[in-house]
Amino acid sequence: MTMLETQGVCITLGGRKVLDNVGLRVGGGEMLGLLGPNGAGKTTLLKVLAGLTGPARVLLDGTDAGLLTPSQRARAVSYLPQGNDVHWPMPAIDVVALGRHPHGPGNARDRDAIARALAETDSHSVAHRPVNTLSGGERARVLLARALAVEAPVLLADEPVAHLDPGHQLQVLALLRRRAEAGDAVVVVLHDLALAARFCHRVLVLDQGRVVADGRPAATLDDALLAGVYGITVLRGEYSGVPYLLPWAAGRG
Amino acid sequence: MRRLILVLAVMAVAASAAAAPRVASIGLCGDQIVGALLDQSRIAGLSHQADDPALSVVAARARNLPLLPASAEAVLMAGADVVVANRFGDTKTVNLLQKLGVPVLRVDSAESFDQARDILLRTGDRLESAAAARLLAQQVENRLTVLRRSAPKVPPLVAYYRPDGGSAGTGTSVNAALEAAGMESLATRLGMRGWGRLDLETLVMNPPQAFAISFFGIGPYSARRSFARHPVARHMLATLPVIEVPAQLWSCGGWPLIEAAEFLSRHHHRGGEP
Amino acid sequence: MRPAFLSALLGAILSLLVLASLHLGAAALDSADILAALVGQGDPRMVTIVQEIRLPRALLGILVGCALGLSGAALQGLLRNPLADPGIIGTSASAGFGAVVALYFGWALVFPWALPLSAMTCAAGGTLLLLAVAGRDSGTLTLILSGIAISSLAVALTSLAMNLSPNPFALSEIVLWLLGSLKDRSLDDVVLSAPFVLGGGVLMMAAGRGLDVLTLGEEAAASLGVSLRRLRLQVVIGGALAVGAVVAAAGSVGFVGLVVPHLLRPWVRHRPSALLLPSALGGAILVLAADLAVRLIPARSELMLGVLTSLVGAPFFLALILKMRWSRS
Repeated sequence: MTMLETQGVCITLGGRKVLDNVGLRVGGGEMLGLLGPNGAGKTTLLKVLAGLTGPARVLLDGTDAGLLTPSQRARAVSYLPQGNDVHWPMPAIDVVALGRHPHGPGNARDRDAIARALAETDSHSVAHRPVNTLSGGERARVLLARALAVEAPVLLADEPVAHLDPGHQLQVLALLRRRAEAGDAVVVVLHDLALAARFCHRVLVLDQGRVVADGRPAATLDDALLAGVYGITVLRGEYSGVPYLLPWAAGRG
Repeated sequence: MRRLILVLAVMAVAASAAAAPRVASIGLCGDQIVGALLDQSRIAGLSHQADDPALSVVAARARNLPLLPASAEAVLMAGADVVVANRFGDTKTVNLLQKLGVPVLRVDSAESFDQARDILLRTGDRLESAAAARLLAQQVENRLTVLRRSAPKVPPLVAYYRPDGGSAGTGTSVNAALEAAGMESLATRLGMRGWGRLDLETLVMNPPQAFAISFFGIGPYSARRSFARHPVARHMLATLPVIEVPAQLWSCGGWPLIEAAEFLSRHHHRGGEP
Repeated sequence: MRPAFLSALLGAILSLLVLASLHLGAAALDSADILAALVGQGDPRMVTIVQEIRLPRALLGILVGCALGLSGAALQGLLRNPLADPGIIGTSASAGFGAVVALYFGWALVFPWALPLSAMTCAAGGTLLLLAVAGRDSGTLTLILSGIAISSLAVALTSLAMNLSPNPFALSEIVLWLLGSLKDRSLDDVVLSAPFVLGGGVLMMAAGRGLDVLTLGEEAAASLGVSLRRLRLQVVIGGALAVGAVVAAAGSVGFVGLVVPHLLRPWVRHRPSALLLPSALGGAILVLAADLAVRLIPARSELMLGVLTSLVGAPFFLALILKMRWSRS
């Protein structure tokens, strides 16, 4: 089982401490939600894990990921950045194929991986359309397919459902959860607490660059924490034995 | 048939080359020497500006001669054995011609009568037309003597201007022509050396007795007419005598400078033109 | 259309243009004459004209077009902006400055390689400056404004160098030279620029797959194992080598790198790597066609090549900006 780990990360950007002694550990078979208000350091932490920001020591299965070649590391860790940018109006399938870059020049396994990624993200129907003609949701799914096509044992996704309608939000998170259950390690930045609570095995809550909570969602996202971190109150309930929560009001009232 | 003509042409060229070289000019400085010294049969062609009467003193002759674009291929096809080019410009064409074994004479724009004579004699030598060159040089010398004899006792102060405000101090062809006509250039009196601007304020502070202007009539040749358009300059040009010297007489400094000097002298004696 | 087929098609058009280029000049030669002259047979004057005047001109035209088309495509890929072009972002003007310095201070006379070397050094400097200012953000406005600033600076430095030069006619000569021309270039010019165009071309072609991945943005590309530093250096140095060398030989010929990749992009499904080779060929086609046109258009002295490409390219550039604005609003 894959294990991604980092400890004691401190990142300062422009004189501001973005991450202050942050540690994280995620294993194969686990879907970890990164939560926290805007500016808490979620994206920076994800970039640290992807090897895009440093200095930080990231261990992949116990060995220093910094010692891997860029391609080796890229084959091990797939990273889906925030946003929907595709700079040229390429056909969707060509965009997905870019995920195979770390595997070297094209071969038959690439074609299978691309087809699988398109199928998993429900993007087959748009495969041959230029990405600039796709809706925001379609484009987000194509980009997720690109990240899946890497077929890396670790998947890092930064707000993968930000542009999606509720139906596709649920689909995408279910898909990530399936990937985790199939043995991948999945780290996903989310703003939607309800979805995080519903799909993540574990959540890690950041506030002002520090880890303020780490654990199973139901136990971790208690009223005091949410009031402290987000300044909100939530409604809670249970549906067929599964607890859910719903952000309800800003302020502690 | 065409092949036959070409072969004949090549033979003709070869025959004349043995006698005396055929010459092509690709610049105005060359045009006025080649056009003045050589027979029709020895001129392979003149530059594409040669037939413009506003710029070239040999425009009349050029109408009966081939005009060549400044390109190596045109020069070669014209059957030139020697090429005369301006000192500057057409660098690539000149380099290529030399590489292909065609000798190129670079001719300076002369800044004095002495330099004009040297260039004329030296170029005449190289073009195997030394006698004609000596004759022309002698004529210039004689006319210069006549001109100096008729010079006014007190040289009138004359301001030379191009439409862009450019003037001429010591060491320039214009200054040489003014001096030969018995005039003093305002720029020279003010200590200017070489070509330069004589700004309006200086002109107002040091009014001349007359103006010598050139290139004013040739609108399209100068985009910068800031001086010519300025109301102060226009007022002075309207109130003082103005001699408008035909540009072709000194567009490239050379033997035609004598004609510029004679023109200045003639029009000064007439009291200038309003 | 498959990229290989597109390239073959462009190659065929290019060959036709080379033939046309060999046929066109002051001397009227027919195909038989030209063929004979190419192998050194026939009238020695014709041999000279074909081998020493027309062939170098066509070859240099190919080099210039390839360098500009390829650099345009590579720079557009790197900056992820269809408005990038060696002329617009200031690379050409910087190279022109380098060439002028080498020419008018006489270095080129002492050491012929000084001309392309100086042009390439300045081209690299200009492009690196642009990357420093506008490389990360890659917004169109920043890119164009920085390009204008760098171009103006290079042109100003060029004029300054001219004013300081001992040659009084340098200023007017340089204006003409900066407009670009292939007239009367010799094999020396071809030999002097070919190695650098080739070297730069190889560097840029090798960047193709990296440019593809860069379509996803810098972070995604880095996460896929692409070294951005290397990619940037590859394109900047490759572009500087190629553009610097051809500007040193032929002056600056504008807009080729803008127009050609833009026209060809839809044919390669917008993939930056697939665009590189066709853009090089297309650039050569455009430059040779323009060079044919300047020889065909009747004028007392031959039109400048750069004038013609700019007459075509500048309206194209404006239309492209309008289209981009229009599609955004």
